[in-house]
Amino acid sequence: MVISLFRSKANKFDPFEMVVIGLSLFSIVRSIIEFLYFRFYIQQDDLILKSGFVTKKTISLPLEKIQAVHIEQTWLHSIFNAARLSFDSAGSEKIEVKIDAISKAEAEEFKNFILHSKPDSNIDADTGLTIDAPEIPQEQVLIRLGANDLFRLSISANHLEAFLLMLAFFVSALDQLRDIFKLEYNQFVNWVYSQSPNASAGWLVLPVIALMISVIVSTVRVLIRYYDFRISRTPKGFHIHSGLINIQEKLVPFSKIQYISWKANWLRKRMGIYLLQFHAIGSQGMNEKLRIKVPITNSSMIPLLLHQYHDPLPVQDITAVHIHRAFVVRMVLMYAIYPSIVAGIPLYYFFGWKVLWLLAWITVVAISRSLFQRRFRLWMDENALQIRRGVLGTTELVLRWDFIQSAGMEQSIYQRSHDLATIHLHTAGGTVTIPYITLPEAREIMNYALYKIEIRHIPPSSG
Amino acid sequence: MQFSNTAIDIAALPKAEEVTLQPIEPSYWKVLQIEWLITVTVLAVAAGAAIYFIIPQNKTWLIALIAIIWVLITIIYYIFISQSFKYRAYALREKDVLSRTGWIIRHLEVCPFTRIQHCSVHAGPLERRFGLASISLYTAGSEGADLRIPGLKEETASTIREFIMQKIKTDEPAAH
Repeated sequence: MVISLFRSKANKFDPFEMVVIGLSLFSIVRSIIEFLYFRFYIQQDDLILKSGFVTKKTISLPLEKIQAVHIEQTWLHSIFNAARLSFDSAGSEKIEVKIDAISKAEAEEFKNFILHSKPDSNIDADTGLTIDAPEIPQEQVLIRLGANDLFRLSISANHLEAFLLMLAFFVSALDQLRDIFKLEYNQFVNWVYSQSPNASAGWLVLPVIALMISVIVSTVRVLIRYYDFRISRTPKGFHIHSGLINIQEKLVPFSKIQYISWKANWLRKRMGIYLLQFHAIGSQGMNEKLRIKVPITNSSMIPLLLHQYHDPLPVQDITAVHIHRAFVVRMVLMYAIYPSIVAGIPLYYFFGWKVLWLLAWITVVAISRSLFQRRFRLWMDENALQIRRGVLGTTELVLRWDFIQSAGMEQSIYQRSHDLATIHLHTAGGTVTIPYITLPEAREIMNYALYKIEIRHIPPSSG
Repeated sequence: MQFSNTAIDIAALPKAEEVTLQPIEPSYWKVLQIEWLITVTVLAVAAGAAIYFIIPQNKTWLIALIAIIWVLITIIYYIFISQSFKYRAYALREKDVLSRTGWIIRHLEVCPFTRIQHCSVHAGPLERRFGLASISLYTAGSEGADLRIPGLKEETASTIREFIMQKIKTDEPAAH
């Protein structure tokens, strides 16, 4: 009967509609089959995921190797009291391991397993001594963001980014509106001007409007992302909870943190607001949503979050390593003067002496690189290194020597002639680069890093 | 095991820069030259086809430009392979592998055995013809952290692999 129904209507469809209907039917059937054939269970110490009808696929993930866990509950999930569960995979190929819908109760159970089961060993890696673990409370809230914090976060957000985002959205929306209402950009712009008494006033009003809209957009973004934000500490790791419409939960075992960084833009630096990031395995090149970030509205909170990994170094007591001045010269030559010469000759044909505007570019590069060179600091002690860098804003990071996977030294012709080198320290969570330090320093850092990795027999991370 | 925390003399640490590195097999130079020849021939054929079929005969300057670009690519590529071949070297230490590469920008990469996840030996048709192979070492580190040494004798490559696998087994009693 269904077939006959379709047949009677079939004549009226054009081929394009048929294809669309066919494809959507196919995708519905496919997802139902996928749903029916999806299984997951925990067998001994492995999490097993089975999927596929035609091509069968089985993923088994040893529970001990699970890195960070992400639990996401969109509004659709919350209707059915379910959640999406995904894991960071440690493999070099990025196999995405996720369970699209798991009941809330099961997700909760899983969370408990990751965060609360007894730490597997209290044996100190250095000495082999068993340490009596102090009694740690099951879950201790470290940071909870209130309305005031959210307000400060919204005010100090990157308004330029928010404005561009909104502009892109607005332009694409306008494009569609134009198709519908046959409205032209010019008419719209004229309309805006006709509203203000004269043109110069229009130029004054527009930036103010732009700033206001940007602040509103930033506020909404901050609210959606960080509403009801809280981070707590359990015996095995951090537990992060946030979100207004889509609720995100992240579980980060302490032992899987490769290094920690925190950064602030120019304004936030002055307000003491930082965005701290836990770099877990594979977090480089991972999509923005899965990164583990914690907004900090009081800089005294930073040591609290660092403690399990490594306390911040006592930077005032350690002599810092600086980048060599030659870095500025080199960067200005490479990124400003050479390109300006290459681009300047043909541009002179078209624009004449307006080409001299390229000097402005050279100045910008010179100032920014020289600020970067002057502000860069590297501190080291026997267990960790700490880097502070930035031009207007600032980024700091702490990396423990034993989390380094491999090390490399790089020298260009220019660096060779000045006895300088760049060091790359590769970790499982990303690469840390120390540019343009003197060759003896570079060699010392590299040899020390290798010594620290090789003296330990138990790799701390090995995904 | 006794707990100890004695100060370390940085100057007494083993120095990566003082290791004598082993150059790769001279016959690998032939492989690189053949690869160079194949690439520039393919480029020449492609450029010739473009000139013959697409560009009108009277545009001599455009034909000349393409020819100049081809000559430049051919020369620079040749200098690149010859210089980087000369600089390429490797070394095995008790606890890590060193690899030296580069031409204009020179690299020295060091990969400790304890951090190697797996390693593989690879030999393409050209390399096989000369009895050569290359070895790749993979760590858990992000991209750029893996190490590849080409132009080894097939026996050397498999010996190194055996050696590393042995090291991984003995050095890693328990992984987290």
